[in-house]
Parts: sequence; structure tokens; C-alpha cells
Amino acid sequence: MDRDSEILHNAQRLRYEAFSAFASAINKCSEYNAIAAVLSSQLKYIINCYIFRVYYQNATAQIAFQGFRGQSFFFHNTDDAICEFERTALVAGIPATYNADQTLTWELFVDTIFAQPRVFSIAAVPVVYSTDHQIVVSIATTQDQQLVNSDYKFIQLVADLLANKLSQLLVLEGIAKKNKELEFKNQQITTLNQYLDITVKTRTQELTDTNSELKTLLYRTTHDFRAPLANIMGLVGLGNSMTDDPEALVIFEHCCAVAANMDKMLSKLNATMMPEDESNKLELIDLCDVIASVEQKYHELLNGTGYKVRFNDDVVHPYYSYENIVTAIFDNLIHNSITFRKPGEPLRVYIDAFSKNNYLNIVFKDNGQGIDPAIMPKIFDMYYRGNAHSTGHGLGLYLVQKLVKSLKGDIEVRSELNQYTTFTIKLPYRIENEL
Amino acid sequence: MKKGFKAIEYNEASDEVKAIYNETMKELGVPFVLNWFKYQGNNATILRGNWEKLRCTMLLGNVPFILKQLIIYNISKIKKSEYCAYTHGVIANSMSKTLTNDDSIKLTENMDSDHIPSSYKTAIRVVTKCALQPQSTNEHDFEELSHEGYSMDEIQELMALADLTNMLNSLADIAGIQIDNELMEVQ
Repeated sequence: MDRDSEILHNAQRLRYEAFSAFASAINKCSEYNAIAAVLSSQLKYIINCYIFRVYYQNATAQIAFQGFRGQSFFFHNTDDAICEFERTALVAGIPATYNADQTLTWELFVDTIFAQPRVFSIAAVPVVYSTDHQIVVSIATTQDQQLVNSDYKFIQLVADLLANKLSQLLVLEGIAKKNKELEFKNQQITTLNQYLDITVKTRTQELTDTNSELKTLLYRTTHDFRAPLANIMGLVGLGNSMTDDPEALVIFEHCCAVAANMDKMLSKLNATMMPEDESNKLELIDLCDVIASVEQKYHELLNGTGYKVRFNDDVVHPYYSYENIVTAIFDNLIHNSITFRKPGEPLRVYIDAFSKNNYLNIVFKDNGQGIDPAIMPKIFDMYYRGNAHSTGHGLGLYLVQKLVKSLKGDIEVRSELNQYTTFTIKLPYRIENEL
Repeated sequence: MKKGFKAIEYNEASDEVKAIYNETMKELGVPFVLNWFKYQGNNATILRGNWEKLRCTMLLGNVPFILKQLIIYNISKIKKSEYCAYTHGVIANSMSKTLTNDDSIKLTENMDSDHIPSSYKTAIRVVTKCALQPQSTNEHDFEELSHEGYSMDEIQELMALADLTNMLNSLADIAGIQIDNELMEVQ
């Protein structure tokens, strides 16, 4: 190897090492300012550059860096006087050097970073990757420090590295912009959700208040009606005892029936309020007593029906609940059995009670008219009367289901027309800390 | 009285000195302690101060390590500081071999080449001048470095090498430091 080749090798060694450090520093950059700083501090170790300028274009984005005397700057979407020179270089597509004596080109650089008295020539190295992705590296040198052939190779390497890094930053910028948009939209959704949450809370509170008012109204109304009703029934009784006039007695009898019917309806409406009654107390339930009390209540109605009940009590664990509610359930079931018994056939009721899987199971069966399958889905509806001849108010089974649910229980019905009806009620045992 | 200091080998050194020796090997990336440190090993305070100056000026900063080695080599060679010229010449040339795999190429012998970027040559020339004749330093020296693209921070880092090299040379000459056997093998 001759001395000249040795020297060239040494120079290349220095430059490759400097380029390696430069590439490593550029790869770490995440901002344009950092790239400008790396260019300013490290480009001079790779090539002779009195002033440098980099123009990068990718789609609509245009970025320029320039540096002189250890200072550097970057411009986003620039369109200064040097850009025209750079675009011309890109169109030509080949490296070119312009000397200061080329007046036509030089006029472009007035008031630009290249307008320095020591600038002797400007070399532009364009690299076109595609029509909308290209880069130009321009280097201004002084008369005593001209570029040599090997410099162009390094300028090309610098250009490729920068184009790669800048396209990466633009992609990241695009992602960051979309993330910001998503974040903004998320904030909007969060605000809307918060507003919705407040609206739902307000409306729920309004509904709760209205519901509470309606319950109070129902409670007060049923009680307020019962006092004058009792007076009417008393006066009818008094009237009955004061006259022997058959017509008057018939009228009194009708009055009595109407008042009794109205009293029954008020009782049922009143029963719907039972679960909310704060005076309810948990107590041990004796189903035998409950059934007996209902039989006692309907003693007169049961007379002449041939009523017989068979009660199997296999309740192993004591059941604690609200006696008024359990009684009201049996009251309505037995009253239904009486109302819808089969004419000309003795009324039979079979009640089985047993404990199973933490539930008190009550199976209530009668041998009445049964329920038409067509009306089965509606029998628990409020004010639904399944039978045209029914004299009730359509509240009985609605009330039974409502009361069972208030005890966190469940009710099912099976029936065969003119054969039987069976209600199966499952009531959960209360856990110890509820007692 | 005999001129110079005694080299304190690793095994003879105090714990404090050993810790500094370990730092020098780790940060310089060499498996032995350079004589320049061993000759200060009998005074941990002086060794700590000089090592920190060497570390902050030569190993840290933004100016490339190779350029710093070339500057120290050049100054030491002119000042005929045998130990420093040899040591820093070996370090600079060893980097050349790593890349070219050619033992015959010596970077230190070709620093005037036109192929070497002028930023190296100007820095070596200006800092060498300032080290040899500090009182002659003028605005032109700073201007030259600035025109090469050096920022004021980098100029300060370069000028610190003038000071460091004078210190390295003085200490090596006063202490009578012998060239490390390990480096002799490299030659």
C-alpha cells in the first residue's frame, strides 16, 4: 500500500468512526431540535462543512435544518429562498457544486445563511426516494477547505440516515396527533357520561320521590276511606234493626254488600303496602296457626262448600318471617279456592310445607275449576280478571306474587282445567344476621 | 535523593488507592493500571484529584475521544514528553488497527492529510499552539475553531486539553514515569 492510500485509509477510518457516533446519536433523537444539535456538533467530524443545510420533504411536510459556527436551527414547513435552490437540485437529481462567481445562482442566497463572505462554493447533494419523499444536503465550504470526492459518499450516507429518521419522526408525529384526537374524544365521552350519570341520578331520585308520594297517597286514601266505610256499615246495621219494611231491608242488604265489597278492595290495596310497613317484625311462623286464622276469617264463606284441608307439615327448620305477609298470601290463595271452586263438588285443599335447600317450600293445591292455559300468562297481572263471572277486583294473585317477591321468594303455578290448580311457593330462610 | 516517585503496584496499594485503580481500568477499558496512576499511588488525595481531571477532560464531553487522543499525542510529542507521546500515540493508533486491520497504518503519522476533515486539523493545530504558548492565545484562535463549527462549549472542552496535557506531561516528566510494559508489547 503506498503512502497516499494509507493516508486515505486513515481519513476514512476517522470518518466512519465519526459517522458511527453520528448515526447512534441521530437514532436516539426524538425531536427535531435534538437532530439539529447532533448535526451541529458531529457533522464537522465527517465532512468539511463551513455551513450546512438539510431540506427534507415527505408528502406535504417540509423540514429544514441549518447550522453555522456551532449554532443550528430547524424549520417546519419552511419555504424560504434556499428552498427554490434545493427544489432545483432535486429536479436535476445529481450532486452539483456552485461557486460564488456564478452570479445567477448566488442571487438566491442573499439574506440566507449562505450569505457569508468566506463562502467559496456550495455543494448540493439531492437524494430522491420517490416524487414526494426526497432530501437535499447542501454544504458551503471556504476556499481553503473544499470538498473532496470521498466527501460526497459520506454526504449521501448522512442524507439517507436523516431521511430515515425524519420519516420515522413524521410517522410518530402522526400517531401522536391521532392519539391526541382520541384523547379529546375520550374526554368528550367522559364529560357526556358524567352528565348522563347526573341526569340518571336526578331522574331516579325524582321517580323515587314520586313513587314514595304515591305510596303515601295510597296508604292514606285506603285508611281514610275505611273510617267512613265503617260508619256506613254501622248505619246500615242500625237501619236494619230499626225497620221491618221489606223494601228497606232489601236496600240495606244491598248497601251492606256494596260496602263489604268496597272494604275487601281497600283491604287488598292496603295489603300491597305491607312490605313497606316499617312496623313489620320478624317472628317465628307457625303455618298451622296461619291457616287456621284464615279459615276462621272465611268461616261463613266456607260453610256449605264441603271444605276440607289436608296440611302436611314437614318443616324441619323454624321459619322466621312477617306473619301479616304470610297470612295475606294464604288469605288470597284460600279465598281464590273458595271463589273458583267447582260447583256441586266438595272443596278440597291440600297444603304441603317442607324445608329443602335453605328454602321453605309450600305447595298449595285445590280441586277447583283450574285455569285456562290461554289466560295463564296473565293471572299475576294487576286488575286482571280471568273469569267473566268473577266478582273480585283482579288483585288477588297480583298481591300473592308481590308479597312472595317481597320475601325474596318465588311462585310457580300449574293447573289443569276442571281438575286442579297448584301454586308452588319457595321462600328463602333468612340468614342468621337478619334475625 | 533520587529523582521521581515510586510506582505503587495494585497489591501494595491502600484500599482507597485500589478503588481509584479499579475506576481507571473500568473507565479506560484496560485490564491493567497505567504507570501514570501507579506513580501517584502513594498519595490517594493527589491521585483522586488528577484522575478526576483526566476523566472529566479526556473521557467525558462531546468532542470525539480520538480527536482528544490526537491532540494530547501531538502536544506531548512536540514537548518531548516521552511517556505521554508514546501512551496516547498507542491509544490513537490502536483505534486505527481496529478498523483497518493493518498494523502498518499509523494515524499519528498522517495528521496533515487533506483527506482528514479540517475540523480535526484545526483543533489539533490551535490547541497545540495554546498548550505550548498559552500567553499567545488570541481571538483568531477562537474564531478559527468557531469557523470549523465548534460551539463555545466544545471550544472550552478543547482548550481544557491544553491544560490537561501540560499537567499530564509535567507529572510524567517530574515523576520519571516509565512506559508501561503492557504498552511496550503493543509497539
